[in-house]
Amino acid sequence: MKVIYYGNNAIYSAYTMAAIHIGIYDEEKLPCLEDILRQWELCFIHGFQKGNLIYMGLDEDYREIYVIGCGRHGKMLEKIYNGLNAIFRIQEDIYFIKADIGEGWARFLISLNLRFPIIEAIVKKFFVSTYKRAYPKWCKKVRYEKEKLKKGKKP
Amino acid sequence: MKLFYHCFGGAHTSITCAAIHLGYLPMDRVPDVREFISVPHYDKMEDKNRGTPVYIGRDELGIDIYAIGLKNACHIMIPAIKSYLNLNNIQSKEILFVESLVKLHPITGVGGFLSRKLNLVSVGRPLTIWGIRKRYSVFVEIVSGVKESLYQYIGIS
Repeated sequence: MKVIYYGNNAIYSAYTMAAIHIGIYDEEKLPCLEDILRQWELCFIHGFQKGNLIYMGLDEDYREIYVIGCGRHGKMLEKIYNGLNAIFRIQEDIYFIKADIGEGWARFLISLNLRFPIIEAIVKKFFVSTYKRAYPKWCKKVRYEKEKLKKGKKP
Repeated sequence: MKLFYHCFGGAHTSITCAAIHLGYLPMDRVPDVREFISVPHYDKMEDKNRGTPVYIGRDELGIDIYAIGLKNACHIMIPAIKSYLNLNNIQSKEILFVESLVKLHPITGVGGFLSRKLNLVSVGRPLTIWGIRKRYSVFVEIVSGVKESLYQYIGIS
C-alpha cells in the first residue's frame, strides 16, 4: 500500500507528518532547532514547487510513504490517481492523508521573507514558534491515521 | 498509448475534442445542437467527480482517448500524474496530454458554470453548445494538429 500525505506544498506539514509516520522525527518530542531550521531552508528553497510525488521511506508495516504538494486540489488528485489505477490496472491501494495543519502560516512567512529579506531573523523565529505549536497536532493526526490504517479503514 | 484531452471541468471542450478525434462530431462542418447532445458524456461530468478520467473510445491508430477535467491546475496535475506513473514503471511517453481549453468562448464558460456548478442544465447546456459552435474551427484545428503529430510519431504518412 502507498500512503500519500498531500498538502498545499510538500515540504512543510506533509513532509513533517510523513517524517513522523516513518520515524525520522520522534512522536514524543520536538525535533531539535537545527532540524527545524533545516526545514525552514527546505521551505524557502522549494516552497512553491508542486506536483512531484516524493518518496519518503517505508513505515513499520512496510507501507510506502510519499508526500506531494498539490495546491488546493487534493480531492481532485485522489480522483486522478484512483482513475489511473483503474486505467493502468495498478492493483496497489493508495491511502491519502490531507496534511494542511499550519500551512497557511508557513506560506505567509515564506512569502513575507521573500518580499522583505531584511527581516529574515524575525520571520525565522516566527517560523520556529509556529512549527513548535503545530508539531503536537501533526503527531496527533499521524497517530490517528496510523490507527485507521492498522484497522484497515478507508480514509 | 493513452491520450487525454483536458480542460477545466472535463464536460465540454475536452469531450468535444475527443468526439471530433473519434469521429462522433464532423471535422468539415459545424455540427448542429442535436449532434452535440448525442455525444456521450457531453455536459455530464459532475463537479464532485472532477479529475476522474473518462474513457471516450479508441481511435484508428489504437490510441485510447480520454477526457479529464483538471481545473486550472494542469501545471500541477500533469507532473503529479507523470511522477505517479513513473513510480509504477509506466513510461511517461505512454501518455499524452492535450490542452483543449485554448481560446474558450466566454459564453461556454458561463454555460458550463450554470450547468455544472449551479445545476441549471436547461439554461447552461444550450449556452455551452452555442459557444463551442462559435469556436468550432479552433477545436477542429487542435484535433487535426494532434492527429497529424500522432501519425508522424507512429510513422504512418
